[in-house]
Amino acid sequence: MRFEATIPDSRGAAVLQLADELGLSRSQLIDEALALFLKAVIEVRKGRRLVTIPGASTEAACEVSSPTLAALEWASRSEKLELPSAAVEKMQQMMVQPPEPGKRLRAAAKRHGR
Amino acid sequence: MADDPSNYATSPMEPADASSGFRSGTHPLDDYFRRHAAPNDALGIGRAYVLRRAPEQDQTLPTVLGYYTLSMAFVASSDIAEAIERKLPKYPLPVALIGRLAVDERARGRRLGERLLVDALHRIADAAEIVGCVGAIVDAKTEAAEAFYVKYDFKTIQADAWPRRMFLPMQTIRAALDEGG
Repeated sequence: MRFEATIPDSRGAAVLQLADELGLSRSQLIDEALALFLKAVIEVRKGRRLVTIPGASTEAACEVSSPTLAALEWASRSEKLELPSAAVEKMQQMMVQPPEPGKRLRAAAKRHGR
Repeated sequence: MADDPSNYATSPMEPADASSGFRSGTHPLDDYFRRHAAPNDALGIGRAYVLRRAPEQDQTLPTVLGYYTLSMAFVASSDIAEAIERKLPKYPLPVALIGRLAVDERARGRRLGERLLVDALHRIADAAEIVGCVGAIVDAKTEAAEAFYVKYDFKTIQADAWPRRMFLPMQTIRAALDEGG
């Protein structure tokens, strides 16, 4: 199967450099990276956490995460919020007719954009 | 690029952050950060994200400038009969819950609360790409907190008790972030 993807230039450059250093083709490198990601998703869906453990020292283990893995984790641990019907109705109205973002929220998003 | 952690101003809380001396001046928020945020993060009950002082920033500022917590929740009506009568959704609504958000009192006046909130909205919008989420709910614990969220378009949906439950729909979040770039 052939995949095509758009990634940031910096990551692309890192992939090329790593492929060169490890003597791997781009396909081999991407295949292995995807296999690791799929494994990570499967583990997180089981409710497990991903960590790296230092080899021979007493340093603490370090958790590995990404926005996608964090989102899956949140979704698997949802709590139930029971609200009065009037509150749920207000939410529903806002979902059906979402307000335009106001001046302040727009300006904040611009100030702290990516 | 959603999956690049450098897209966020914050990073996941580390256990050592709990003893960094963070103080917002609001006891429950400080106590939560010191005693419960890291264990709850480890248990997956609520993710805590921390805004750290950058190397180029004033070194007299505390190392942790602020934090917020995120979790997913399902909103359901507490009164099924009334929900049916009002034709409310028969299924629970998935939402992101910003449980706590606080800035160290020594770092006030730098719009860090706003920065943390927008960062949380970015994370929520990214999460909503892969899991169902109709918007963000915050629990405003004081009148000042409620006033803060109102400035950023959150609407109070439950006004008869504290904390005030407030909501911002995902479409509004996306519209603001898309414009912000």
